[in-house]
Amino acid sequence: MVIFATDHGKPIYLQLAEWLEKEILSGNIAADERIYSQYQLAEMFNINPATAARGLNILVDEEILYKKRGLGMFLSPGAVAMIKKRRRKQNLERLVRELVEEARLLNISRAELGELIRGAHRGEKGEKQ
Amino acid sequence: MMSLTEISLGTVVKKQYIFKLRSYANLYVSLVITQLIALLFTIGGMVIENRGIGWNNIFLEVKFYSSLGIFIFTVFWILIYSFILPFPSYRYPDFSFVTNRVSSNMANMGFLITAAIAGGVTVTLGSLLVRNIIYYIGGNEGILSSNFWVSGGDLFTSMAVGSLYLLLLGTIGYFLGILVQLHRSLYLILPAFILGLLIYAIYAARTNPGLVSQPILFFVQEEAPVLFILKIIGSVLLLWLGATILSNRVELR
Amino acid sequence: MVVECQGLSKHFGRTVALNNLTFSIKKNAITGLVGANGAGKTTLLKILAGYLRKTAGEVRVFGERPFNSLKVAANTIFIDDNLALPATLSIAEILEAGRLFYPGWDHGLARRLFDYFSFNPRQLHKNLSKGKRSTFNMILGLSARSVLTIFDEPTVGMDAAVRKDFYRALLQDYLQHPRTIIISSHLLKEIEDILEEILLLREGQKRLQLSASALREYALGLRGEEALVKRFIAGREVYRREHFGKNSLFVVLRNSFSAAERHKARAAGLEIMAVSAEDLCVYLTSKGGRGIDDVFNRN
Repeated sequence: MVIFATDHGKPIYLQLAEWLEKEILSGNIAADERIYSQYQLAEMFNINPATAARGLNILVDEEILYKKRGLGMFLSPGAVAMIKKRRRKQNLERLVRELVEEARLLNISRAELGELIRGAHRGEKGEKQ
Repeated sequence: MMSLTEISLGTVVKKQYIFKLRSYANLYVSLVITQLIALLFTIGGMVIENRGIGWNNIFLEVKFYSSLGIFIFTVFWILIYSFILPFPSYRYPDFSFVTNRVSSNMANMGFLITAAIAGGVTVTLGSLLVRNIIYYIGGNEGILSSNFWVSGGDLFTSMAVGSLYLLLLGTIGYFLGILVQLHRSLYLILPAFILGLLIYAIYAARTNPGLVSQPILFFVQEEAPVLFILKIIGSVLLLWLGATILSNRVELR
Repeated sequence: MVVECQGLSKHFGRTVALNNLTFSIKKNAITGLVGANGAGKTTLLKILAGYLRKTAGEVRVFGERPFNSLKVAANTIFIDDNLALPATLSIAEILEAGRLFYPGWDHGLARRLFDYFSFNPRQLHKNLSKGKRSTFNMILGLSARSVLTIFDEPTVGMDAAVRKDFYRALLQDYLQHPRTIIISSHLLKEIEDILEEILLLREGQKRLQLSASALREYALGLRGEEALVKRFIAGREVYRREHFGKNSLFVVLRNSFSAAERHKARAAGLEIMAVSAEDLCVYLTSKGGRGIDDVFNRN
């Protein structure tokens, strides 16, 4: 299964955890609100419920979700901040590192790279207008 | 959550029996067709003796009619069906649903008993039909038989005896059918063996008549009804047991 | 555990179909049985269904030996391409037979699936096309609601849309009525998503048994300059080795590198890539890790 087009080959439960994080970041689930059950997720994405449970458990281990016995899993109040903090550390810093490495390989100066980033920001704003 | 079902042998056999009756209802169509063909032979040409005696302008024609033909046809019918009953196309479907080898054999026996009774009853009714046809077509003046008129008791006896013989022969067919399932080579060996046995029987009938007639007389000459029934049922049980033991370790597909 | 095998072997004459197989299958999980043609998948399933006898070892289904067990027969349905059914019954009558035999039979489900796939109730099973027959057998397998449900290559002949429907139906019904399901296929890609466990066979032996969600991380691919790659993989089991380009090498091996090792590999200019579950299975189940290219490279 591929939840995101770029995720080919990535374990499904990781894709699922990321999808849940995205849902949480976009504000679709409020603090202390009940999140999808493993069975709902299994049905939504046509995956085995055990795989869905593994995806949910990643978020439980990171305390983004908390369990209530017999009731299901709920969103921790500080979840959004936690996800942002970790994503910054894991994703953004890795991407920047790769960006810098690639720039070095192509002999692109620091100033040029900075200009590219600023350009990308402007382009994004331009699209929004 | 699903819980395991405990099921008794009796329940499985009953279900298998119902399943077989539903699946092989065409068996009875073939029975009727077989007997109709036999009836045509009996009425049309199965005149065993046709003697004309010319003497002083008196011409006497004697015709012997017999419903034995219907019985013989029915015997072939049950032999063929019982023989193919253990063949894969009839046996494997049992296992597609719920069965083991014992319940499959038991259900087949139930099916054979039903077929034998159907055969015994229809043969008797067929012989009545022959009598009727002769009576109305052939005219009722010259019937020279005390056996022509039959009582209700006779009819019942005829049905019972017919059914028992058919059951015995059907079980022999079934046993042979099981036998050829055991190994592919038996498909070739068995017909050769039976042919050889027949040739030997014809030969032995001259030199040692007892050898051939004894097994047949064992059933045919029994005059006590209870003993006759016991002899048949005993033989049937032995054959069925043999068939079950032989097939109990046979694999599928 | 619903199924337990201990040193299970099966011989057909001199051919060894199953060779000393030891594994167990979890209750209420969907297990995928994967392997190349001739790996012994069908033989194993037929032993579990009580069709075939084991040659050696031990096999237990619901704690009983399946051969001639009524308990196993009553609680198991085995569906494959050669499913034997009376030639005289219409497909609607076959569904009735299913209702007669299976204690958990859901006739409503059978009817709804029957209508959805627009079957003609009076048609004979033997006259169905290959794809239609597989679809009908699937209806039988799902509606029986057997505690142990076995599908051996169930999608043979089905077109892509029906295959999708089948796996969706299987998952939906499983979510509503959890039960032990074993499904064999040589196309792992098709079944990967809905599996909980995977049992991989190769030449009658167990190659691997693991949770399906772990399969995509089980191995990784390493690509780069031949000498460099060789240095990195020294002493490790390689599942697949492919030469390409100018002295470049691609290898697939167990994902047992630490983060530091991985970083070192990247820094040295090696590409590290994920290996899809499907590709991994092909590598793991091929004979001695050989590929078709080995036929053409005779150097």
